[in-house]
Amino acid sequence: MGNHPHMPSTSTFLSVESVTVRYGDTVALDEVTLHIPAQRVTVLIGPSGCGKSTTLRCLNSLVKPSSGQITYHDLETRAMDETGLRRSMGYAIQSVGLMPHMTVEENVDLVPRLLGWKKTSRPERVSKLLQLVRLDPTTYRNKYPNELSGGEAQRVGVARALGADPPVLLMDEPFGAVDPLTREQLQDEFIRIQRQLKKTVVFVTHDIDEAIRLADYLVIMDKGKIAQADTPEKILADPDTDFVDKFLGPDRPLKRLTLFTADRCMNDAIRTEEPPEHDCESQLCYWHTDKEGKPLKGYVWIHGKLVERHIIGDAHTVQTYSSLKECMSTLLNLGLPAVPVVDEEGRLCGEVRFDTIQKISLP
Amino acid sequence: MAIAIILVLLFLYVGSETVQKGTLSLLFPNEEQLTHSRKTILQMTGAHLAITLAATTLSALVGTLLGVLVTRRSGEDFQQLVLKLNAFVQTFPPSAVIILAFPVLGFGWQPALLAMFLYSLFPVLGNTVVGFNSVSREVKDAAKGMGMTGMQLLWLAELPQAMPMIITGIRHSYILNLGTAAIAAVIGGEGLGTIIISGLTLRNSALVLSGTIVISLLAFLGEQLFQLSARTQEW
Repeated sequence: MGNHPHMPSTSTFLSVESVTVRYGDTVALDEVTLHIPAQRVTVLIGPSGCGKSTTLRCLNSLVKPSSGQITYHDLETRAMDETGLRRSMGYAIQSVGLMPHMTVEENVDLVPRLLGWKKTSRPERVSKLLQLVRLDPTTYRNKYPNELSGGEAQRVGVARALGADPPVLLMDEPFGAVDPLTREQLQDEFIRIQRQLKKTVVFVTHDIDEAIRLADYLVIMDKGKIAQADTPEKILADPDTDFVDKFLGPDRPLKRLTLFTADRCMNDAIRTEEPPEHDCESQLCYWHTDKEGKPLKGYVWIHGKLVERHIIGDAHTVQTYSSLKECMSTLLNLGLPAVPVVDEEGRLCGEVRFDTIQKISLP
Repeated sequence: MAIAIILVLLFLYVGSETVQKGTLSLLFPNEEQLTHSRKTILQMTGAHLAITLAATTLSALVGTLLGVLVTRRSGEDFQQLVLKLNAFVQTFPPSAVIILAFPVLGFGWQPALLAMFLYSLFPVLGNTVVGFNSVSREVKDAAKGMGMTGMQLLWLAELPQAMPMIITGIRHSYILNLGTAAIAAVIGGEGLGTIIISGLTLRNSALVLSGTIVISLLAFLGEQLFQLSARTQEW
């Protein structure tokens, strides 16, 4: 412990220096030091009470450190104007905290309004932000929060956090209160938005899969201290302590698979019109495609027998951006030693083989 | 619509002695005296409404202000005290308030007003506290996290959400004052209590009813107006 490598090749303008937070006799944070990489996603994770939310709330002065300091653009936050500091950091929380008496538009527009931005450009900005989180502005701008579903409210929460285009986004379990399916969609959207906007994000979650999926820099916390902080690849490959190992769970190799996408590990696919000749050595897959190039059947010789599988759409193919975990699942579903990778139009563009997945899952 | 009907009825009854006599003689054909000997219904209604509105306005202003103060962090210590006092005062019947006020405050409309104000303060105060406490912690946390100042938190986040509760409190206070003002006639209030008490002492039910009709119409009118303002508050 105590050794927390910075993310390689990134700058930082927000850092926590040996911060301790005490509430009476309990120590919520114990000498935490953390350099938050600029324009990357830093995910804080750990069991409840580990200090992850407290760390986040220290960043925008919602919690005042008992000792230590937080530096933001070379200034100590303790000495800064609280409201100004907070307005320069987007803030999204689990329960969303939308103002129930304000419309979606007024909620998204709140920080620009507090900052006194000119009224003329603001409605347009609201439309742009709603489009960014995939909500139709004409349908949604005049709705009240109680008319939104959980997922929609979370989207509005994210749009509001982005309201004044802050360089920093603080997110405290922003997708915590929705069902798993919606949650995955929101994570996809978040990744898409982050690729576009490149904000410095600090994200708190208790869901390890979410953390591994979103993090550029993963910070695992326990009992008010940082247990390990590094890229998810490194942490999954080489957990520092027993705690981290246990926290990652017994399916660590499977979790590692979520870090890689199909296009990074795919091989060329062998195409064929007819069932292939006897081939007992290679266990290679042969793919029969239609005129447009969509895979219809897969063949493989195993133990002297020809195995033939019909390929039924999404259930038996993966996309170029699918994770290796999804590839593994589809592979088991299909029952062949490889899985066909298709492009957006559904045309065969490669295959991911079981041995490749196996090699990657073991560091 | 309901408001218009009530207003028309009120104007007709208060404005014209013929209407008053006509209505009352239908119900009490044997009664000779149908109006007050010295004052018109119009005068009494004016005085009644004036003291009611004055007391309600005072309660609304002071009650909301105190409610805001005891829900701030610096005033939180007094909140329990205020709420307990509120519950205690609510157990007093209005007549007891007026009668208890008399030896202390004396005779006239000023002591009546003071007693009414003190009595009707608590519904507003209590509801304001409940309203502010009902604003969720998450909403306040989000508001602070977005960089609202204490004043902005109050004006933009808390007050609009507490408003329906505060309005309910003011409505309660208005109805309470409307009734208490009638009893205030005993200690020199000049409202519709005058005719009601005359009626009671003369055993003349027509006079009692005459005052009661107007007070009831004023109560209905108030209810309707408050409902209207509550509707514009809906989200």
